[in-house]
Order: sequence, then structure tokens, then C-alpha cells
Amino acid sequence: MSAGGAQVCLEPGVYMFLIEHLSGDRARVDYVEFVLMDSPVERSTWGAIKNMYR
Amino acid sequence: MSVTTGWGKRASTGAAVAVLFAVMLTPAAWGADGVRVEGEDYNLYGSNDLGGYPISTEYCGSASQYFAADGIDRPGEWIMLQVMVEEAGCYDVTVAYQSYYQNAVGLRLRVPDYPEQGESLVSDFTLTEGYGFG
Repeated sequence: MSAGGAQVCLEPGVYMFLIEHLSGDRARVDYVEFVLMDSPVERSTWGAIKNMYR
Repeated sequence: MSVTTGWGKRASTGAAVAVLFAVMLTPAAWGADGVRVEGEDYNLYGSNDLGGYPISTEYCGSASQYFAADGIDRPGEWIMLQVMVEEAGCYDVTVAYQSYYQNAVGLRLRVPDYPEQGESLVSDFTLTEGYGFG
């Protein structure tokens, strides 16, 4: 089993999400894991991060 | 899925069934370090199959809980999953998947309508070298 990684910033809530095929051959998805990054995010920093996505 | 409860043997069958359904319909639970969403849970939420190898739940000896979502093999195909986030912040996201030996595969995680309606949060994953199906 191989794994790819990335970071996403989210607020509390229940999210539906998609795993989409972009390129290449057949993929078999075992699991998707979300782990909170070690450093706590201050509210002001969190606000700045949210604005980066807008 | 393993379910642990504190119920004794006198718990009624009806109540046990109710608890089982409640667990099945509850978004993936949050653990101490994060949450793991099983690929095969797409059965609860949906998929988009455009042909080729059919999207299906496959037994996989090396997979978490021994099952995985297979057959995601054409651009535009997707599986839908659900996660419950309890704490605001930035998360390391890992997608564990397999492909044919030495094949590269590109996948994308998309959170529709986030942060605003009509927008999407996306992250791309690229498997540069498949190790075969186990």
C-alpha cells in the first residue's frame, strides 16, 4: 500500500468529500486519514489561512 | 467494524440493532490523533463510475479492515466519503491506495462547497510508483 499526502485546513463540521481519479490507471483506495498538525493554530493565524483559500 | 459497548448481556436485541445502525450512520469518529475514513465506506455516500473496471468494494488482505474501494480507473470517476472534524485547524491528509506495479496514478481530494458555496477545497495526490494489488 502506498500513500500520498497533503495538508488541508478545515473548521469543525461534517464534510462530504470526494476522491477523484485524475490520471493513470486503476486505483484501489484503502483509507483516507486526517491528522491534526502538531502546531496549534492561533485564531488570528487561522483567519489568515482561511483567507488564502478565498 | 468492531463496536465496543458497555452493555451487559441483558441488553435487548432491538436496542442492540438500534445502536448498530446509529454507529453505521455516524460519521467516522475522531480518535486521539485524528480520524481514518475507510475507502469502502463510499457505499454509504455514493460514487461516479464511468466504465472500465467497476467501482466496487474488494477484499484486500493488506488493507485496513481488509476491504478497499477498487476500480477508480478513469478521469472523472470518484468516490464520496464523509469525515467529521471536531477541531479547527490544518490537517495532514494521507490517502492510502494501490495500483498496478510501476504505474503512476493521480488522485484528488475535493471538499465541495468549501470554504464557500460553489467553491472547492482541493489537494492532489500522486502515486509515482505502484506496488501492485495485495
